Amino acid sequence: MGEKRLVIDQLKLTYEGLLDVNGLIRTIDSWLYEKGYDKWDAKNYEQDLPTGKEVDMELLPWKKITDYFENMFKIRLRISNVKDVEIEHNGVKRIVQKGKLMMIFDAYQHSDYEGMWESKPIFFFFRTLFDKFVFKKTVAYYERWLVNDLYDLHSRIQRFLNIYRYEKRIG
Amino acid sequence: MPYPTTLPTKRFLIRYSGIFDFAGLYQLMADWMKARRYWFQETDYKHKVNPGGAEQEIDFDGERQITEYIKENVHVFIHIWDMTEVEVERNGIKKKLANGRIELIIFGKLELDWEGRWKGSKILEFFGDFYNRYIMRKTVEDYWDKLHYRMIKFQDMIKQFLDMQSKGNEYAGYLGDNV
Repeated sequence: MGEKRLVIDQLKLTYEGLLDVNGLIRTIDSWLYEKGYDKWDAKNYEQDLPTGKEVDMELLPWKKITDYFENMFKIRLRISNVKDVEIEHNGVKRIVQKGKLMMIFDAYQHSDYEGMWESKPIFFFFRTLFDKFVFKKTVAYYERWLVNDLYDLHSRIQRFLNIYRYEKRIG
Repeated sequence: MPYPTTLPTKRFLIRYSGIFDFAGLYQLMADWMKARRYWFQETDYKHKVNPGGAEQEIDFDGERQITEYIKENVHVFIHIWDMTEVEVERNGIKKKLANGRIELIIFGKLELDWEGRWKGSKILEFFGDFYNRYIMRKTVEDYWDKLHYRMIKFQDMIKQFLDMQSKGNEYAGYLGDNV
């Protein structure tokens, strides 16, 4: 229902080394909660392999901005070769994991998510017309919001993984 | 287009491969439903023995009335492949567990006008649609939201039981209850 416009296509994040898998997922979860996104863990795969655990997830959170616009993310997460390792941090022994992480982010702008303007071809035509010309500024405003949100999440994950990052600001 | 009288939540999919306590998992899900006053019913049970291990398909539903107008359903579909029994010793206690691949699909559903009060004639259907669309809409959306987050809790409980890496739910307090 409605129209989904792909705004960010396959923003990638890869990492290999020590990480806390559960902590990473909880970080994404808490960011979504803070920002008022509705949660949907569409897929949760986990398997034990001789090379280590493999975790596959697909998260599809969404946030209703207005009665007409909705922000949607598609976060694909694959962590392979997950193995427990013991490390010493500040003199304290801790068990963390080691693995290979690959994340792919997509951001969609979902307009007319209730499908109110789809019941007749003429409505559909007017919707397109209004989106393109009348609500042009509004569409651009919500698009910036969506992009900023995704980059914020991306930075939060980078901070969690403690990897090199730069501030991404749009508009 | 009339306002839908059946509103399903999103589908949640869990796949796990490894050693797990299937009897415990089944009991946990059944108890979860019973504790929340869902009418538990196993609708399908298939068991097939293959050379690589057993294959099982189990479906069950939970149903409860919220009001005289709205009913809530929870559906669980379980599919297991290559299931073999293994004996594991934990803390000096021997226990029989299952080893295999399991897939769980869970989702909830809201059913409006389950007594069929707005059925029978075109005029009743028209008023029923008006009632759902303009009077009940907010209430129905609230119940849908609650059911969606209840399903997230249910999913998390399964993940906790299977000790998956993705266990944990930041939205646990969202419903404002501890169930």
